[in-house]
Amino acid sequence: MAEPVLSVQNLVTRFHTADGVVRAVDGVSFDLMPGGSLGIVGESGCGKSVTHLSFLGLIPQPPGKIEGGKALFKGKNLLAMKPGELRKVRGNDIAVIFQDPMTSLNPVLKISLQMTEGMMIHKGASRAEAEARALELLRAVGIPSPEKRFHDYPHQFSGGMRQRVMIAMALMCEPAALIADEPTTALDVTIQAQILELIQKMRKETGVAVILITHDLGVVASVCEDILVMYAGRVVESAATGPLFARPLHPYTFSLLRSIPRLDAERKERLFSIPGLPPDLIHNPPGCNFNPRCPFAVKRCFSEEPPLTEIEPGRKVACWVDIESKKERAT
Amino acid sequence: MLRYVARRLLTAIPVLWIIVTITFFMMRLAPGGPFSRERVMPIEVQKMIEERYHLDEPLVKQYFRYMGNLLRGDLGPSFRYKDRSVNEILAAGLPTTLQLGSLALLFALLVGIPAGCLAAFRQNSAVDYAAMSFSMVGVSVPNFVVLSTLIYFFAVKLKILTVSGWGRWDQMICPVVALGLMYSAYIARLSRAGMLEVIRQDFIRTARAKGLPERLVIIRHSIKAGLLPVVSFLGPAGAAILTGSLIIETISGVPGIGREFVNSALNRDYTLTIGTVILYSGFLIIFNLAVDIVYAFLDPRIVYE
Repeated sequence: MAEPVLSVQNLVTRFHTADGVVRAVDGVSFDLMPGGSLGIVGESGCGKSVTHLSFLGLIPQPPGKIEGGKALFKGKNLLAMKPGELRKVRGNDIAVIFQDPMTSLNPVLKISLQMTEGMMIHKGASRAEAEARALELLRAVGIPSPEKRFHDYPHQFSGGMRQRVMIAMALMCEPAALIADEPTTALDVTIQAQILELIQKMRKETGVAVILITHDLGVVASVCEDILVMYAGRVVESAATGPLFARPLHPYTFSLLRSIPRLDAERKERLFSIPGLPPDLIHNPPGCNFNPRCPFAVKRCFSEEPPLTEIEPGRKVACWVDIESKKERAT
Repeated sequence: MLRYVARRLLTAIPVLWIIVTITFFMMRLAPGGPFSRERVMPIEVQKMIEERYHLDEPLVKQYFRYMGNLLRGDLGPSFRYKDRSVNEILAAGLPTTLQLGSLALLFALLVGIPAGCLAAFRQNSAVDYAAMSFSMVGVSVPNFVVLSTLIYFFAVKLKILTVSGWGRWDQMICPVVALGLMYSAYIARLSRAGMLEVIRQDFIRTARAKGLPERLVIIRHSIKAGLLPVVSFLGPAGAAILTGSLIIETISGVPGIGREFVNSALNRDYTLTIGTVILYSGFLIIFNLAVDIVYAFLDPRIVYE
């Protein structure tokens, strides 16, 4: 089996705030294969974004602190790198697309400058070379007549067009990995589908491995081969997309899938929602983080934290209970 | 853009006219006149003087006479300085005041912007606290205290600089620093706040995620937007600083027009007061226009039609 392009192992990130220590990321591990696509799913504040911001050195320190784990990119630990070394990885080997294209592009600088500056720094490219590459990518992401729009400012583009520019900008240095952090959340539904299709197309054409971070299960289902479900700073389930949707093993995944509206449901039926709120990450409950909201919880769930265990080949889950038999799993 | 500038300059004309009219009548409402003295003048002498300056005419007639002269660019004779016209007085003092003012403004920018930026990028560090304490002092200590202290230490004690006068660098440093210090303190606070606002924005995270060196993140991605508050402050501040200061000019013996802003009003020197008011309003109008133009250059989202 090929080496993963990015391997995160047991990452722990905490924020030391006046109210207490926030366990934003609490032992997250995953592997991203070359050319692969991994979806990280979870609700707001579960640590999806902090995970990638941590190993890219983009969380504010202090109050943030990476307290453990490794993030191996092509065998080198990003967490042990000096800021200057890590800077050379960012944008060059690992690129990021952020959620809101309205605010993620600098409003006072031309698109041409914002697109080319990274390549000129990382690859030592001349302005002409970088501009040629930028125009080629703008065409590839579907900006009509890019030569005319190249020297425009971000506010002259629509939201969808801006996200296309962001994608093109991220691909400038031919990165090995692309992290798309909620790339469609701020966009219209019709544009969302186009942007997801575009990410898929660029992945196939350039072979870039993609991590797609989202709270929308529908988004990962259509794009990702593997899925990581996060809850309250921890990975609760990881599996290939098909099996995960067909047969969720963690009560949280199970509840999430039940709360998706279905076209074939009875009209009188109420949409399912998970009762309660996620913990605030300063005062985590003892045992499993999900226990206050879990319909399957047994006694053990309130005292011992379940480890992420491989239950079947390629399927990991962090739960004491086998939700199909509703019985505690034998260990 | 050119049409916009032309329109703004045209609208300045009625604004100036309103200001002049209000000043003209308000000055007349103030008790006393340019020739009121404690010692009573012989009635004949007073009559002669009033006739000479047309003070015996009805107020409305005086107003139209003044406006007529003003349209020809004549600000009239000074009521206080015999045989000197307001034009002469302003022309004699203005270059010095402008020199003092622009040096003070330059000082304020060169100290304030780097101090504010440094404080923002090292927020809650010793540098930040030092810069903000300095600016707190700069804002609260009156400029005559600053000036007297500077003169006392550098001119009287250390004898590096000169106590008063204008023209050589050793005479200019004290008044320039004393006049500019308060502005540099304001500019430091504004640029710190502006930069802090900008560096929290998503696009700064994008710039870092692109792997740009911190130098480019600051210079290229933050400064333009971060200094917009400073630019807007420079409209009114520029007009105020360039028209000088009575206190600084008096203490340092600078032959400028800053002192006329106060003295002419106290002396009821009607024409000279209006002259200084026109000058100040003119600066204000031009500076605010300049600020708007600079804004459009800094922020492409602003378009004037």
